[in-house]
Amino acid sequence: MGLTLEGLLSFLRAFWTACRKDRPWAHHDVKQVIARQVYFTGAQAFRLIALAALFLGLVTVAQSGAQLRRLGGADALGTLLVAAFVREVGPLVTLIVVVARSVSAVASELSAMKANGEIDGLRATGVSPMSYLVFPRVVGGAIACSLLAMHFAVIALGVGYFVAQSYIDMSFSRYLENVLTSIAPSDFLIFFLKTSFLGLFVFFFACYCGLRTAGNSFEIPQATTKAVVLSFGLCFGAQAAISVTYYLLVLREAGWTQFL
Amino acid sequence: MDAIPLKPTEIWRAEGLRAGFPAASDGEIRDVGLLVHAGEKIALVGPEHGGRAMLFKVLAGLRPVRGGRLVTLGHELTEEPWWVDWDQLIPSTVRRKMGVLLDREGLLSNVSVREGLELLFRFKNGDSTRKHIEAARTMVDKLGHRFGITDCLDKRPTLLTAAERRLAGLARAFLSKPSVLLLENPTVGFGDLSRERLENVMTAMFAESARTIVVSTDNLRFARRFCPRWILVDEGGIVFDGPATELIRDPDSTWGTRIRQLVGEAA
Repeated sequence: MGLTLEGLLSFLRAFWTACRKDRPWAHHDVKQVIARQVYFTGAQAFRLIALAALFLGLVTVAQSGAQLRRLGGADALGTLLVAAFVREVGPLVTLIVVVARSVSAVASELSAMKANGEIDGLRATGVSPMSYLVFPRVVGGAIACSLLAMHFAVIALGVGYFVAQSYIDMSFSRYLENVLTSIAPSDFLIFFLKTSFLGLFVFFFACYCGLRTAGNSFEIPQATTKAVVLSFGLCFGAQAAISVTYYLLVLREAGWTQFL
Repeated sequence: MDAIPLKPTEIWRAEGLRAGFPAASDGEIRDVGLLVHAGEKIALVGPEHGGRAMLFKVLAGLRPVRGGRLVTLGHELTEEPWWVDWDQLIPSTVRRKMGVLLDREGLLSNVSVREGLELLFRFKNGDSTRKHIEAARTMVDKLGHRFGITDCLDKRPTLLTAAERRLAGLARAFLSKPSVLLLENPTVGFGDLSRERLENVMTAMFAESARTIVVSTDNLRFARRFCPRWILVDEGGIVFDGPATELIRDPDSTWGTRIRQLVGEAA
């Protein structure tokens, strides 16, 4: 079955039916798969995310810190860093890493299982692949996305403090206060939407692309490529849509209604 | 549409059954009708790409029906809509009564045979309390002993021989103590030296009169020995359905002549 809207809706329906009938969250074995997925997607990417956060944090704060000092806006540093690392760059870079590492791995793993006959084997034994394979990967992947993005934000903000010291004379307590007061409740919502919520969909796409192959080995790389391309498209498009919506709402609250 | 009346002893009843596509790897079947009663031992035979694999998989509830009707253990499969859920082609109450050995076994490759079987047992029973974990272990030990794969249980399927994988696949088919067994190419991987191992298992299995067994095979000697009824599938349809003796000894049948030569019997 190719990648079609009908196929996607059919897959979604099957996933919903499996969740309703099997209640996979109650199975010990499914919980183990969730934990393994969180480890593979999250823990194993910690160093890569830390490296990305280190360099991006360094570059972002170095560039913006110098400008803020020149313009006399040192107190806006916290707002800028929260916007960058919590709302925008952090979730985007995290999802890019997750898609490149984990979405491709999940799609290739499931399409290989299809080619090996393991999916038919599960069905023949009465175990739904949706419950045992798809559900834990989707849930585990979504959990890992938000953990990684938090990890990114913490490291980038931490790096930001040390870099900011070279431009602005700011104590750590003042820096921390500056950052924490810049975080609004809406930032948590944006963060959740851009990490866990999008994470659910990218892993859902990965499972869909992997399981919708016809079971031939030459389709494994094709399924992987389709999953990655679909997921990147979703990431960029959805994150942009969420950000634009958020800023339009902010502008409306500020009275700039001509943008709506 | 009126329901097809199904007697309690009927396992499958098909009318005008259609499934698959011409280009599909499992082939296609068109306008197939058959009736299988409890306790029958049946061989699905036929050439490659003749539809035998598709008929087997439809009977096993692994492929959707595209036309016609099929009733499996009282559950009717009709033409599936575009949103077909392949996981729910037959309900779990019916699935529990069936055991299936597939051509590629389908054992979970990232865990050992024991871990895979215990996991499936626990998942099917919807419980992973200590009592069920121990029950799973006991069941797998029994199956390992029954099929002679005790030494293989702690290995991953990729490290097993073809014959050992078939026996492990058989063990998996028996996890639910099925009353209906479907075996796809059960003799693959067994050579002259390992055939005795398989024959001991098969002799015991086929001796159970209450169990319905459908074997899809191109090993005609195996089919001749164990299955009194043959269903010959060719070009997407059923060419013959009846006692094997009748087909083999028919002097006017092209297939009969060919099979006689292959199994070495006289007309």
